[in-house]
Amino acid sequence: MEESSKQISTRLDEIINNNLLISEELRTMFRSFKEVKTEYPFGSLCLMHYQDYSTTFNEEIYTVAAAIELIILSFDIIDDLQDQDSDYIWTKTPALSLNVVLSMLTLAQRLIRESTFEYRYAALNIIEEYTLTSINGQHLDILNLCKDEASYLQMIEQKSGSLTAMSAIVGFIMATGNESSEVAQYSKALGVIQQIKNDIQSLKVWNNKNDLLNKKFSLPIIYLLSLQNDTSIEIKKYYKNMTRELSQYNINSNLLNSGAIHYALAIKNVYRNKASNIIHHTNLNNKNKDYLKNIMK
Amino acid sequence: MLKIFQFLQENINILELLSEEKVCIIGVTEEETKAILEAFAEEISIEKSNYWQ
Repeated sequence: MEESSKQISTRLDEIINNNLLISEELRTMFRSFKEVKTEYPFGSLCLMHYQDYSTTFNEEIYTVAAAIELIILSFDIIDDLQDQDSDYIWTKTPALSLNVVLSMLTLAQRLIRESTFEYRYAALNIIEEYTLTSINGQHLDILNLCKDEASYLQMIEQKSGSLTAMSAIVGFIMATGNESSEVAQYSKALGVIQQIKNDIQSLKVWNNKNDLLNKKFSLPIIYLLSLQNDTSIEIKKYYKNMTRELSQYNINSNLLNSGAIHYALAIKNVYRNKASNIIHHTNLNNKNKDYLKNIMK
Repeated sequence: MLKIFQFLQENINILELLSEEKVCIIGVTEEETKAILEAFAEEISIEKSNYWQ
């Protein structure tokens, strides 16, 4: 994966430094935003599926992987601007950051369209379909209406699963010209699993990223709210703005002892086990199978 | 899954019977049972967990 990341990083630098359609003012910001990223897991997913399913190798796949990362970075920036819960460089000047986002999205599509891959238009169709699905999920997330297990899982499948699925499927399509329901299933699960892990992580830190303090819903919170105890009453009051205080000790204790975290882990494990079974029967090489299984733990 | 978890939380002895395959829960697949048992086996204490440090 390290070699893939290096190649994607180099290609991103070339795109940012050499593209004549980007002004110098925009380029400076573009460059500083790119520097925030140290890993490229989405581009690597694309590369992995191209390399393992293609009978030839076209080096332009690194450009395609870089384009995928531009899309992901643009979605991350939008998410941070909407949630206002991070202090990344792009949050300092939101109006200007939105221009960088727009240029990233436009440039990503242009890079793929201008590539020499036979199936580049099929890949662009997939990108349109899956990014729109992710935007639908993001919209549902901001509306904060997914208050039960089924609607919450559907929302994160859309929001997070679509982006991992898009990355893997684009690589697969560039290699074969076909879509694969197996690749779609396990790669979507990858996104859902990471989201559930992030949701659990968010609850351990008592700061402006904490979903409970932000009155957001996630699996452990949905579980806590379903209980009939003092803590659930306290949380319900907080969510209805009837109180401004939450007891950190009680809530942490309940998260751990009531089964809330176990419950979220079990749902994560359901996705992981299903995905692992599918991955086991694919033609990915063993190293990549192990990599995927490892990041789903 | 949520209701099942609440039931198991209140009847923790069922977990052992589940892991010994002496009982099964109607409406829960073998894969889901495995996922539940794995979740309960995962360490989430404040001191040791990867999830909760």
